[in-house]
Amino acid sequence: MILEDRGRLGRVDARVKLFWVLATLVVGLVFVEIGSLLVVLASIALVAAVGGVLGDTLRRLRGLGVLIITIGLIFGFTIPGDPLLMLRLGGFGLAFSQQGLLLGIVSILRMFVFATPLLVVVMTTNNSDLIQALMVARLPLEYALMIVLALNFVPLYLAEFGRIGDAQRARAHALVEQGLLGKLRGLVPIFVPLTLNAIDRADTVGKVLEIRGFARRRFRPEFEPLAAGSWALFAVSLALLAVAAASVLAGHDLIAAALGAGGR
Amino acid sequence: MAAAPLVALAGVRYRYPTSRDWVLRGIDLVVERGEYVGLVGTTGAGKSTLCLTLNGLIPHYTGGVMEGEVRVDGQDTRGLSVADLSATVGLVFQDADAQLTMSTVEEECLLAPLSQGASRREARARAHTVLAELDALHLCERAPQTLSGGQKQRVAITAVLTAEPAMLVLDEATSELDALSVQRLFALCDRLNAERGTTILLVSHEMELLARHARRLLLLSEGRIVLDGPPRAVLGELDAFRRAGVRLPQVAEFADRTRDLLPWREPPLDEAEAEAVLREAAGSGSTSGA
Amino acid sequence: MTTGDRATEAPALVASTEPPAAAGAGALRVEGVSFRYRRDAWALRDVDLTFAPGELTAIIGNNGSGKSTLMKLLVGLLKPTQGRVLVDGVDTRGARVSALARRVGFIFQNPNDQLFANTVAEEIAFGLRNLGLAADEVAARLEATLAQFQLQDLRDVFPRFLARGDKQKVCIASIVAMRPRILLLDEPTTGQDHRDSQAILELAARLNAEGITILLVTHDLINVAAYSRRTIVLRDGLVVRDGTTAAVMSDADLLAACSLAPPQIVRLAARVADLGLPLALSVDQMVAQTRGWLARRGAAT
Repeated sequence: MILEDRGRLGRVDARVKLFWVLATLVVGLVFVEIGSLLVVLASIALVAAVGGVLGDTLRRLRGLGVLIITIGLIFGFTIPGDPLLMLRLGGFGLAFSQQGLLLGIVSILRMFVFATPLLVVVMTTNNSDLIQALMVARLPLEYALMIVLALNFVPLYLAEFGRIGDAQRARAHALVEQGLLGKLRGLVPIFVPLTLNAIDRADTVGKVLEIRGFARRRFRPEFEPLAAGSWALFAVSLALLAVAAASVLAGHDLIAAALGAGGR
Repeated sequence: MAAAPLVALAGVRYRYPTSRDWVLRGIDLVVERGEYVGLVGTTGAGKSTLCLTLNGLIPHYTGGVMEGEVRVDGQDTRGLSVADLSATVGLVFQDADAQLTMSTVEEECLLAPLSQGASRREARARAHTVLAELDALHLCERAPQTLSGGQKQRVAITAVLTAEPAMLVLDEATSELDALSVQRLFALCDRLNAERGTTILLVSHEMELLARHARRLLLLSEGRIVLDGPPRAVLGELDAFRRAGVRLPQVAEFADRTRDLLPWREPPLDEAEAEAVLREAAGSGSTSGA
Repeated sequence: MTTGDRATEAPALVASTEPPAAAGAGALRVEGVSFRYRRDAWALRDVDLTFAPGELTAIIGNNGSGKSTLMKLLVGLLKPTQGRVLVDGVDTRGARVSALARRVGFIFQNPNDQLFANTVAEEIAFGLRNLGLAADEVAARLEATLAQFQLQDLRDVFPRFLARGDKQKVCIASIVAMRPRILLLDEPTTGQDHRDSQAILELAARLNAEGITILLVTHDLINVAAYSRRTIVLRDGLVVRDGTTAAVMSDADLLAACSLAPPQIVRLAARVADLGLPLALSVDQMVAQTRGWLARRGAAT
C-alpha cells in the first residue's frame, strides 16, 4: 500500500497525519451541502498535491471510486420522493427520485472525503509509525495492529479481486448483469472466494504475529521533533476544525454561505 | 549427562478443534542440534501440523486436543509461549504474502529482535546482518508486496532468522518458487547448517534436492512417521513410499526398478552416483569420459 | 470416466443456443502478438504460434517470461496490443470472454480463486448456466460431468471443505462441463503433492486422448517431460524455442537461462549418452532403454 517515494508527506509526523484524517472526518460529517463538500475535497487534493502524491492518490482511488459510486447509487435508489427514473425489476419498480439523486451525490462526496485522507496517510506512512501514532491516540496495540494490517493487505485484496474476477469470467460469468440486483448477484462469485481467502490468510497472519512476538511487545513510541511540514498540516487540520466548529455554532453552513457570497 | 535434544516429541497425537479425526496419531521424534532433516508426505499426512507443534502454535494458537509431549530444549511447549519458543524454533510458511505484514522489509526484520527486548539500534544491526547474509540487504526499503516470489520467501526467512533461532523449520516454502530460487534456498539451508549450526527441518516435495542435501529423511503418512533415517537407508524402501503416495527421487526409482540389471549397492542420492553405476555396468571397456 | 456416455451424447452435445462445433474445432492461432500492460515494458513480443486440434503442449519459462499473459490472451481476458489471437477462427479482440468460454476453458492455478458455491453440483452448474443453456441441458450435463469425474458422492459437499486435490478436480470438472475443445491449465501441479499432481495430469492426458487440445503452463519439468509432446519455451516475453519436448529437455543451457533445470533422469541420460543410451524423458523410458542397452551389450559379447 505504501509508496516507494512518499514525497513530502512521508516526512510529516504520523500523529499529525492522523489528526488531519480526524479533522476531515469531522468536517465531512458537519457539512452536507454539495458545494461545501467539494471545497473540502479540494483542500484534501491540495494537501495531496503539495505532499507530492496527488497522482498516485488519484490512481489508487480508481477502484475505490467505483465502489463509492455504486454505494451512492444504492442510496439514491432507496429514497422515496419525486421520481426521476424508474427501474423495473420483475413485478415491481424501483424509483430513482430527485431526493435520491441529491442524497446519492452527497453520500458519494462524503465517502470520498472520508476515504481519501486515509488513503493518502496509508500511502505515505509506514506500519510501525502508524501503529505508534494510533497507540498515542490511546488505541490498544491489538486494535492498532488490526487496522494497520487490514490496510496493508488492501493491495493484495485488489489483486485477488482481479484474479478471481478473471477466473469467473473465464467460466462465462458476466460480472455486469441487468439491473441492480443483478449487479449484486454478479459480485457473489467474486466476494465469496475473496472473503474466504482473506480468512485463510488472516489465519496465517495471526500465526506469524504470534511468532514475531507481538503479544508481549513493549512499545515505547519514539517520535522525532516536528518539522515544518508537520506544523503546516497541523495548521490545515486546525483550520478545518475551526470552520466546522464555527458552522455548528453559527447554525448554518459557513462554506456554502461564502460560496454563495462569492457567486453573487 | 548429555544435553537435551533440541526437539523431542513423545507419543504426540493431535486433533484440530473443528475436526473429529486425529491428524497426528502417535509421533515419536527426536531431533538433535545441528541436524538437517527433510520431511515428506502427501497432503493431509500431517506435515504442517507437525511443524506447528514445534513452536507452540499447536496448542496455544490453534486450540484443539493435543496428547503426548513436545519438548523444545528440554522444556514442555505447553508451558512456554509461542513468542518464547520462536526464539528457538523459527517457522516459515508456504504463503509468503501472508507472512510479510509490515510496510517495508527492514521493518519486518526488526520485529523479532525488538520483541525480544533489543534496542532499536541493536535490532537494526541484527536485521542488517542477517539481510546481508541472505543477500537481501538491498531490499531494505522495499515494500514486500512489490517483491518477486523468491525475494519474498527470502525476506520471510530473514525475518524469522533475526530472532536467532537454533532451528529453522520451512513448511513447503518452495512451492511457489522457480527452480533457481529453490536451489538457492537449499544452498542457504546448507550454509546455515554448516556455518551456524542451525538445525534445519525442510518440508518439501523436491525429492531430488532433499536426497542430496538432507542428512535425515522422515516419511509421514496418515499422522505417523513410517520411515526415519539417512537418505540412503530410506530411499531403498520403494514400497513404503508408494503406499504413502510419495514419489522417490527419479534416480532412486530408476535404481529400484533396475535392481536386477545393474550393480546397485545402495540407492543413489544423485545423478553422479547413478552414472557411476551405469558406467560400471558398461564394463571395463568404457572408462573413457566419465 | 464412462466413455459410453460420450459416444451416445455426441449428437446431442449442443443446446440450441450453441453453434455446432466447426471442423477443426480446438485450434488456436497466435499471429504476431505483442502485449504490454498500459505503458509498462512489453510482456510479450512478436509471438507467432499455432496449436492444432488435439495437441498437448507445455509452455515453460522463467517468472516474468509472459506465460500467464499468453494464457490470458488465449482466453480473451486480455486483448493483444498488436497482432491477433484466433480461437477456432474467432478473433478474440471482437469476442467477449463469456463467448470464448464455450471454446476455450482456463483452469486457474488456485482452486480457491474460483470455488464459491454451496455445493459441488452448483459449482459445476455455474458455468453451464452462464452459457445460457436450457435447464434440462444443464441438468443432463451436470450428471454426465459428475459421473465423468467420479464426483457423485461429493455433489452436496461444500467445495471449500474438500482437500486440495479434490478442489482442483471440481474446478476442472466445472470447466470441462462447458465442453470447450481447448483447455488451458495454469500451473496445475504447483503446491500439490505427487498423487494429486498425477491425478490431474492423467485427467488432462485422458481428455487429450479424446481430442481436446491441451496447453499446460508449468515449471514442473518432470511432468512436462512425461506428458507433453511439444514444449514451448518463453523468456522475457519472447518465444525462444518451440519444438519437441525431447529437444527442449536436452538443451540444458537454454533451460538454465530460463532459471529451469532438466529433470534428474534427463540429466542422468545426458551424462551417459556416450555409452550409447538414447535420451530418456522419464524413469519409464530410462528403465526401458537401459534394458535394451544391456541386452544389446549382452548380445554383443
